[in-house]
Amino acid sequence: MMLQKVLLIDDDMVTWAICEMVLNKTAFCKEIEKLGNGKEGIDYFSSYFEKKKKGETGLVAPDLILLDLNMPVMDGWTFLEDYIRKYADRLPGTRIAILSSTVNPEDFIRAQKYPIVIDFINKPLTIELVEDLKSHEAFRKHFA
Amino acid sequence: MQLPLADDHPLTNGCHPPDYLLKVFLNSTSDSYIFLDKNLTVVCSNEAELKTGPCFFARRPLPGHPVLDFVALTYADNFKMICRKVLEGDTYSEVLHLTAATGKSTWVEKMFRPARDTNNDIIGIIITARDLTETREKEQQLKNSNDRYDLVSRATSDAIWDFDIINLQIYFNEAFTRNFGHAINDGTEAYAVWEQHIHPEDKQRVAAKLQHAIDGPDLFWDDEYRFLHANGQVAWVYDRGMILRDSDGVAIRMIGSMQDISRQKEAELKTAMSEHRFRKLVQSGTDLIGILDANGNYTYVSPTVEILGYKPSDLVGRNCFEFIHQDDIAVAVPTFAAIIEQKQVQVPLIRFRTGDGNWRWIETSASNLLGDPAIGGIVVNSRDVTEKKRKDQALEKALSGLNKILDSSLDVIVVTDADNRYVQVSAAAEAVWGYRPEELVGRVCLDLVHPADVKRTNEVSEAVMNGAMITHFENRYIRKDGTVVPLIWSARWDDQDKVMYAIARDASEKRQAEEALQRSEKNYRYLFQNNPLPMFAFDMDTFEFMMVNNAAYEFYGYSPEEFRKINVMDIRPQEEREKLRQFISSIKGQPGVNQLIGWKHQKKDGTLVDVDSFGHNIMIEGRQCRLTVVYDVTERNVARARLQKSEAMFRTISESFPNGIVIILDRQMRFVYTAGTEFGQIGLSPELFLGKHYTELFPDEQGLLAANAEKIFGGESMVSELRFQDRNYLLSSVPLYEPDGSVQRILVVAQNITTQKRVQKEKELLINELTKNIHDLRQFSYITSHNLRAPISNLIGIMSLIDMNSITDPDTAFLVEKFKESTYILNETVNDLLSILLIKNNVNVRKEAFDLRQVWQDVCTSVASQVNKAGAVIEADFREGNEVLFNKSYAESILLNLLTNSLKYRDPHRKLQISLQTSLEEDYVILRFADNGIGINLDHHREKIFGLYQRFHNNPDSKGLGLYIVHSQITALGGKIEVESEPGRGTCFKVYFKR
Repeated sequence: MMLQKVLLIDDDMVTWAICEMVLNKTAFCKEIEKLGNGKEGIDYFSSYFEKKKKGETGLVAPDLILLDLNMPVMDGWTFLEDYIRKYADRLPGTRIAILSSTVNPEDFIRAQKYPIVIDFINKPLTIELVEDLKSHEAFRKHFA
Repeated sequence: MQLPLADDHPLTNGCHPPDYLLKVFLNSTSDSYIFLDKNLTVVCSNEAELKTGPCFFARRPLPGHPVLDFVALTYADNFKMICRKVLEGDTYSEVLHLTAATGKSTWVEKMFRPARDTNNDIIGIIITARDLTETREKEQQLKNSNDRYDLVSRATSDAIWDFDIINLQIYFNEAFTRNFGHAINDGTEAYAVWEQHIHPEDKQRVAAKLQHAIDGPDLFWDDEYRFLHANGQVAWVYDRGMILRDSDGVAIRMIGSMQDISRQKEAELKTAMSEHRFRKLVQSGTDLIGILDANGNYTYVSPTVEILGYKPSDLVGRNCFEFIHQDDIAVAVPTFAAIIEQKQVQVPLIRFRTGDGNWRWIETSASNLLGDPAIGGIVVNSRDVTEKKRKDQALEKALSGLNKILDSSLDVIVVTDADNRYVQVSAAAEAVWGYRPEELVGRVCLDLVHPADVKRTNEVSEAVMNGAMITHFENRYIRKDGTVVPLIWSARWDDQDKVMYAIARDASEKRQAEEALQRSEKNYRYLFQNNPLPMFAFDMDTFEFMMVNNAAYEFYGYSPEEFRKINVMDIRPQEEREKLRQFISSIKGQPGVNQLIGWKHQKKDGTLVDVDSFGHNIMIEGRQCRLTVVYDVTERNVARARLQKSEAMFRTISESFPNGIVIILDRQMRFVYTAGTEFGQIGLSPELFLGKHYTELFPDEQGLLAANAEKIFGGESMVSELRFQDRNYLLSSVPLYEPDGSVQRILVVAQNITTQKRVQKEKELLINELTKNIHDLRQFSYITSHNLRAPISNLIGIMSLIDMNSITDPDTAFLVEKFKESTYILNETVNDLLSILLIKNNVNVRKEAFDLRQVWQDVCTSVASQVNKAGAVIEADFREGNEVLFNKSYAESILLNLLTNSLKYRDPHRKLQISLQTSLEEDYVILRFADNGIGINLDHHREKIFGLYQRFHNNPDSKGLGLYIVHSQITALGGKIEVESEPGRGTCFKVYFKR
């Protein structure tokens, strides 16, 4: 058992590679989709719902979004606010975990304000951290 | 002594001349008598005229000559006019005050009365003259004594005041506050207080009269008015003062006293009210109506019985005969019987006893209505006719023959025989002794004499019988009612008829005057001697002290014996003695009270004191003396000077108050004082605003001060700001407390803060900018840290994913291993730097109270393996202080850093010993952390030991950040850290945690 899909939004390709390896090693999910910034994330969900509207089948919504904060074009916070406003209600099964190298204490405090954010992971993502995620109550059932 | 008797000069209307008795009487009296006939011819006169001094006779009138021959020319017209009126039936009297060339004063009472014959026709004029000098002198002495008494008693009880007319300031003594309850600050206020508390209905009148006295030439002013006590009660005061004028006659000052006469006033009002009531009763009342039963008992009495001093209930049920004079019972009884028999009878006048035991003559008419069922009694209607009866009796007596002259005398004239028995007694005996003449005739004179005076009287009477003429012999008689009356006798013996003629004058009035004098003297002496104010009297010619009171002995420091040796100049400083001498000679013989102000007196020890004094000229033992009451005003003057000094200081400060204004507002928020240099700056005169409402100076203040006025007058202070023109002011308003604790005025200090305002604004802008800069820089530091951390994170991530077992080449494996180590060290260093950044930014640090021992144990546990490896011996003692107020994770970091430092820098040659001990000092828990490691040479490194990247040993683990972080963490939360160390011995840190 594992999650269906993890969406990784990060502008750093090395992070992509590390995440992919760690998630695969821990058998966390079947599919990993990678986007370069917040704007691409919004586009992703916009097109997801457009397709859904058109009646396309086989569409899979991510169970978890791993979201970086410092990104070009649209940063993580902007994406988060946009996502919550436009899509969160329609995707009750989707959770978000921040994955960042930030040291700004304000970011930690801010993240606590969003119930949809279930974790704040300081990079790098490691096998131990993924194991912790598995035991989170939202995902526990998938790894029973 | 031959008398010019009138035998040779028959009266012109043919009446008989006075008999021998009269002649003798004339020469026995000390009064002078002159008889004139209707043509104003002298019939006779006695020698006493000489004694009473020349009144209006130029020389002794001789019988048979027209009296006008003897009358002084200047008096002749007046004399003739008086005589004409007297012949028409008038009586004329006057008291003359005569001063002889010798300076001796005499008072003479002259009386002109018509002489009437037995038919009551006027046959001539009797002129008498009586010497009143002695009585008047006694009266004068009494008055003087009373004046002194007044002065002395007033000095202690009355409010004494000193009114500066020019400046409208009054200084009251403390009696003013004591009597009227008003606390007084200064003279100006005192004037306002006095003026404001005059009863509104009296104010205008008092002001007008006072102004009139000040404008006019008067020396004195006095007035009675109502004055409001501080407690709101109305007091009546008698206020009088002496007006002092300058050489142009302009009034400059008044000194006086204000006497509370409320009690007298009250008594006066009460008397007036009761009189009013009585008059109303008499006017509205009718005659006294009574109803008697057949036995003469009262069954009803009308309320008008009050005029006889009874209430109706006093009479009802009692018999009417109980009230009738026993001498009248004889006529009253048969009259009553006649009334019972229904006879018409005229009830004679009877005497009726009044409630206070006196007798009144009443005229009564009676109607027998016993048969009338509505009344069933005898109705008596009575009227008090005592006055009428008295007049009738007086008339009867006046008409009774020759004795009329004797009887019209107020003196008792008696004739006694050789056995000292009364032969004849004049009518005045009843008034003076209480005996009617007929009760006395035949009795022995000495029976009436006071037992203590019998012996003297007997001796004198024998002397008279032996031919001596006696005048002014004093003795006492017992009146019929048992009281004692003092008498003054003149007597002479007529050897021819063997009778003594004697005249007795009632000396009671004189006696009373003497006794009053004695009483007054006693009171005065008591008050003088025991008065708390120093007083003395001195001879105005010799300056010797005549009397000195106890307070003066104490005040001047001289004993009574010393006072007898010194004179009044000795208690003055040398330089004022001449001035005093001149003053004394200027007031000699002047009446009235003088107040001296601004003089100095000198005590025995040489101390000079400021005094005010009241002086009054009096006679003591026949010497012209001056009684002086002394007020020590040194303290008052010192206080006044101090006050002036402090006022001057206040004015100087407020007038030169830089960049501001000082104002005082009254309860109506009007300016009562304005000063300050700022007025000059804004081009206005401070005086311009006096009396005006404060908003005229602060139009932009928008009533803020007024809105808070109640609070300020209630004792709070207020600070506010306002703009005036283009200036900013800071207003500090504080209440000004009066001595009684109330607040009548507030002090407002306004400071021009325009410049400060501008500077402050600039500062605020600068701070805003700096704050923004700091924020930006902080954000920048976070971004750069992030950018630095991101690739390191990746490196760490990659390292964790490398499977070393899959590397077969040993060289590659070695390189990867070293690569891994470097990556971890890089990561640790960056993390340390970031933690410093966070400490410095002081982000998210929560202070809490926690157990330091517990933190230490956690730290030890976390590095237990290293401790064991080093074989360290640790002793920790937290007994002296354990709980600190600090951040728990900082504390962990600090203890961990110190512990790992000790482990790292231990001396390889000896066993590591670490000791921790806490102690308390004021706000701190001090942790002493000591080891026996290699130590640090502080001579070289003391300044740098807590600096960034300072490494003192060539130790591979050292990054030089540990102590920097410790220092940052402990100081970030208000603590501190100190170090002592010696190379080769060890290091000791003292960490101060806040408690």
